[in-house]
Amino acid sequence: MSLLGIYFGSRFINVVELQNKKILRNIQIPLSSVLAQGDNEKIPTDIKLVALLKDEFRKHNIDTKEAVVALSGKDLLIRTFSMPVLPREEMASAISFEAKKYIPFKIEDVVSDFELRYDRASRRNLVVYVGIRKEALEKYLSVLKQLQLIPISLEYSAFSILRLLRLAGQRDKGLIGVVCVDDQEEEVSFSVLENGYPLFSRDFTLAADADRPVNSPEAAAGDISLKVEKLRTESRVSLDYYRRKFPAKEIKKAFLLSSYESRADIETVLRDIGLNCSYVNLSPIFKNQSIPSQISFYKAYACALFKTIKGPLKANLVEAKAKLKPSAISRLPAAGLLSGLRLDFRLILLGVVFCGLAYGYGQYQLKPLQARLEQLLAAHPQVTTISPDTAYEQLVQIGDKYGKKLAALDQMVNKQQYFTAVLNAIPRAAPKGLWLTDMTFRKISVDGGELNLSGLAYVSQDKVAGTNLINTFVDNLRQSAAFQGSLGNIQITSLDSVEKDKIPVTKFIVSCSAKVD
Amino acid sequence: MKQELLSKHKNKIINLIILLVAFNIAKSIYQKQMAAIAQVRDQVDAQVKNNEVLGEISAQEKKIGIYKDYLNSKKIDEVLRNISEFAQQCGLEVSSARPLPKQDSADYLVHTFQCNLVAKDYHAVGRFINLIESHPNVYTVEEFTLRYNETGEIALKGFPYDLAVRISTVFLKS
Repeated sequence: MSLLGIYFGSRFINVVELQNKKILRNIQIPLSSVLAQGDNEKIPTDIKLVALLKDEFRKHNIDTKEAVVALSGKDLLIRTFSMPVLPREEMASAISFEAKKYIPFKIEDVVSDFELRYDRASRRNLVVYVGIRKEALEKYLSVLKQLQLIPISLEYSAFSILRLLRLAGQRDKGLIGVVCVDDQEEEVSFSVLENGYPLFSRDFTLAADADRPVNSPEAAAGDISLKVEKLRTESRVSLDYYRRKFPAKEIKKAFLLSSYESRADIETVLRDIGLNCSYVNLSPIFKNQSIPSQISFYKAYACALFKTIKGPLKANLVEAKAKLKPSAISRLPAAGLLSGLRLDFRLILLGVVFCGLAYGYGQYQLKPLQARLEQLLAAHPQVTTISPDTAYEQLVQIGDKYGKKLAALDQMVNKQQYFTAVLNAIPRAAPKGLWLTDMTFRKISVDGGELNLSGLAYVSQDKVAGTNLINTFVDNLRQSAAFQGSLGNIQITSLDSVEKDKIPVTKFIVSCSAKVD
Repeated sequence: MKQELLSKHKNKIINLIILLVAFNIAKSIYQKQMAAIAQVRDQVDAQVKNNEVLGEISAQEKKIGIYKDYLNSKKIDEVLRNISEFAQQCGLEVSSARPLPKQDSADYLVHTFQCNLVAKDYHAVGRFINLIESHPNVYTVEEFTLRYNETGEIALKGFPYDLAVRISTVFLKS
């Protein structure tokens, strides 16, 4: 994705089309050509500028849609001051109020943004205030709109060029001073940064007369000694001002950004006022690329690095302007209430922690149960005749059925009524004088049956003796182990006095069956 | 006035709302997790009970299998031959022996045999019945009638005891 960097200088407009860090195209348009375009004084300069830029864009086939604009200090209001620590919601209005002291315009006429940094030493907030007059901003945005470009950011060129320091491998840790001298524009910016955060910034021009026409023979020839003297004076003023404002923050290191040709003179001047600057050679950044070695071009290039390298400030005047734009929604009271809302990320984090804890606690309890379930499923006894999905109730029914079947088999094989023991016990129970004639057994259940014993008892002279013999027989049967339980109910069912071979006998029938409890 | 108050405390309100929403989400997550836990716990309980019943069924099935192997190992045509051999061993004479109609139930198949024999004495009958009941093929005496008949033709040949016995044996169905 390509991006345009446009630097609107005092004398030149520089445009660089960049893809990643590679320059696709670069154009330099002198503003004098805008003024010279057409002799019709009635045509506004802005329209001439747009027409010229459109023409150049067409010529160079520039079709990038997004642009970052850098402006020189004359268009912008860069102020640094400190504020007491205030709640965030009050900070914006307090800064706006404080800024009134430092700007020569009505605060309502200015579009501004700011950036804070807490200073531990002073226990105050340091503020970098960046502002632009609405009128000026509208002018630049209008130009971009007519060029069908989407403005991403509008920056202070002295801060934009700091990206090149990083690109050149210079660390911005600690207190560093940066002096940027633009020979073409005859502009100098003097900045001091603490760990990349701007503490101080000042712009001044080297031109003897700012209103002097650039194409005058005087300007073209240049009064070197005058410029050198002005550089010395303004640099000293800037340095003194900084030292008064931040007496405890001594500049440890200083960098000089300028054209290679003028660096020796500038270094001498700065050394004279007590600022030892190291010249930063930016040429290696552009090796294998044919580009002009000019600071104004570097500024446009640095703008185009907006998405690749972080600048010293996040303050963005384009976004600040967008916030100011009254919309249908913002006119609603609710929308007014919603504007400027600041979410407390600690609370969001707390909320996330709550949700995480709820989830974690649930998982902590769920995991062992799932493991137990898996264990139980693995230990599932395999029964070939039953499907693993069979419901518990069906399993119980199957279990009952198997239980009954097994009980019946147990009874059949192990607990059945064995008749051998009964046959063995009967002759032992029969007393002398009693004999059996008939024996009938019928099995009624697995472990029980009905036994009828018929026989004769010898009576002799006494009829009672016959009955006694039968009673003895019955008593003996009752005492026998074979007749306990399933044949334990022993009763005499009939007694008849008869003669057998002319001998009187008592005919009897004894019935044995299971005891009824 | 209300709007000013709202405007003044809007950040507190929105943060409080965020906190409440987070609480609600956390509560919802917690409730869902608890429902899932209850479900898994029910599954575990059901599985424990299922496994217990299945364990019992498995043991019962094995036992039934053993019984089946035991009861079904015999051959039906051996029954009458065995009865005849037992009678011979005990000195009994077989007057008649025939199979009765088999009884078919859901689980079993019962084969019954009616045998009429004559015996010299009571003890021979006892031995005969003992051999039947102690045989590993599991024969059951269903009915037994023993009559002392001293006047019959057979009795005169020395076999005064008439014995009618009904013997059954069981086969287990699959």
